[in-house]
Amino acid sequence: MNYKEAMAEIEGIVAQLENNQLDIDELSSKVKRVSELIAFCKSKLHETEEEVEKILKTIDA
Amino acid sequence: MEAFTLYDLNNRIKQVLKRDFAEAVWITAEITEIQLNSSGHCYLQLADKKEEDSNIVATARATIWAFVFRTLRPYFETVTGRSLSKGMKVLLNVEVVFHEVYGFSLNVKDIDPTYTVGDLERKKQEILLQLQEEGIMDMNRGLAFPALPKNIAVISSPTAAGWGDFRNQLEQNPYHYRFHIRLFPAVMQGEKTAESVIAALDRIYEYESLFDVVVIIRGGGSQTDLGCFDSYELASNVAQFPLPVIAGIGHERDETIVDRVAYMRVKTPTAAAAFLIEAFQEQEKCLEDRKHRFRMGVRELMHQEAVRQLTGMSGLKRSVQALLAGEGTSLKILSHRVERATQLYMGTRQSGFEKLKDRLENRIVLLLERQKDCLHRLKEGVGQKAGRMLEERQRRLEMVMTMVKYVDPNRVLKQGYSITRLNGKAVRDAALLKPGDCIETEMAQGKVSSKVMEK
Repeated sequence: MNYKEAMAEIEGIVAQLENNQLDIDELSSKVKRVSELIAFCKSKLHETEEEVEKILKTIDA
Repeated sequence: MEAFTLYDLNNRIKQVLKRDFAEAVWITAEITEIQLNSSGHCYLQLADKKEEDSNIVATARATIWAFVFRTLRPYFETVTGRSLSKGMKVLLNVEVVFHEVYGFSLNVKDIDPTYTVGDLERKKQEILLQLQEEGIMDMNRGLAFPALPKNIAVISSPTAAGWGDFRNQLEQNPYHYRFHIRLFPAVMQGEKTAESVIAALDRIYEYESLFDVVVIIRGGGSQTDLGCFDSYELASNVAQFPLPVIAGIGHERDETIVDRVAYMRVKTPTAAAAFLIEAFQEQEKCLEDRKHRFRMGVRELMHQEAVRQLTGMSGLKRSVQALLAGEGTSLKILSHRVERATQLYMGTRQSGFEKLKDRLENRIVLLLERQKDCLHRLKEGVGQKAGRMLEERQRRLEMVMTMVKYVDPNRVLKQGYSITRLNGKAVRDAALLKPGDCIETEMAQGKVSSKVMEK
């Protein structure tokens, strides 16, 4: 999953919530999912990724 | 044969030229070479070309002496926004010079920069038109900017102050955002610029999937050495690059063509860094906003659920109450109905009873009557019978009486018969009499007593 997809999914769930398309049973799993996604996005903002760093090092510019 | 010395020849030529070209003349030419030396003199190679870049039809050397160049240069640069460079068409005021040793050259006394401006503008317009016609003008602008511009490829000179500023600003941003930055070095001024930057773009292209955005940083250096960024080749490359290109070429004046085709133009490298940080801020805000909406939504949902439960309960309560009340009412109604029904029923029954009673009465009456009748009839019958019997008896009686009349003893007596009685009882059998008995004989007239003498 990438940042864009994660944000889109969050928006999707929030929209569902606001349009009363979620019922109380799904709520706990959705809360979990949204928390995961938010944490993921936050890390994209505030953390560097090892994978990328590695590749950057190999570039012979 | 008379021979001149070379010196004589050159001198004569010199005199002729001096005489015929006493005044400076304005010429148009293209700069094919330009060099500055340390003493401040500018050496040019000029050429005249037929129809743009085709055949060279004339060439000449030209010199701008330092004391002239000192004023000429800023003047030119102010008006054109560029510095004198190769490929430029210029309008020069020149003195024709012929030096015995150095030969023919031109001494530049003045320049008309507007001619160059016009020419540059014309060239630029031509390039812009070409890019337009090729349909690539707005290609880079048409790209979608990445949601999060985290991985950045930078084209710049490693020594450029602009690059340092850019990098520092990103690495030390106060929001603790993290970027991945990689420099792809290139020459950022002079002739080789276009070539060098294109090469850097090519190297970045190999890692296209890794990077989110390209930033071209020039910054610092002469504000006027930007002609290279009007290059068709360079602009074409930038326009067609698959990642958004931010041009931080850094100048105040007119847009270069690269500026025009890049996804975005910024005035300074710092501005480029600020833009990227802002993009992150936007995302963070969006994220917070969604988080907030989610929380609110969940709270709302939970609240609604609680309300629903409560409403459900009180609704239930009310329902039950209503039900009961309804029941009560309906019970009442029911009881009324039952009452009415009963009444009706009873009424019906009653009248039924009445009717029954009546019927019964009638029946009884009838019965009684019938009995009465019967009795009556019976009575009558009896009466009749009795009557008949009586009549019968009467008849018999009469008969008897009649008979009696015939058998009346008196008649019989009258006939001469007599009734003999012993002790008052009529005797019919003489055997019953013994001599001496006293018998009485009744005759039609009178009686006689006698004694039996013999039988």
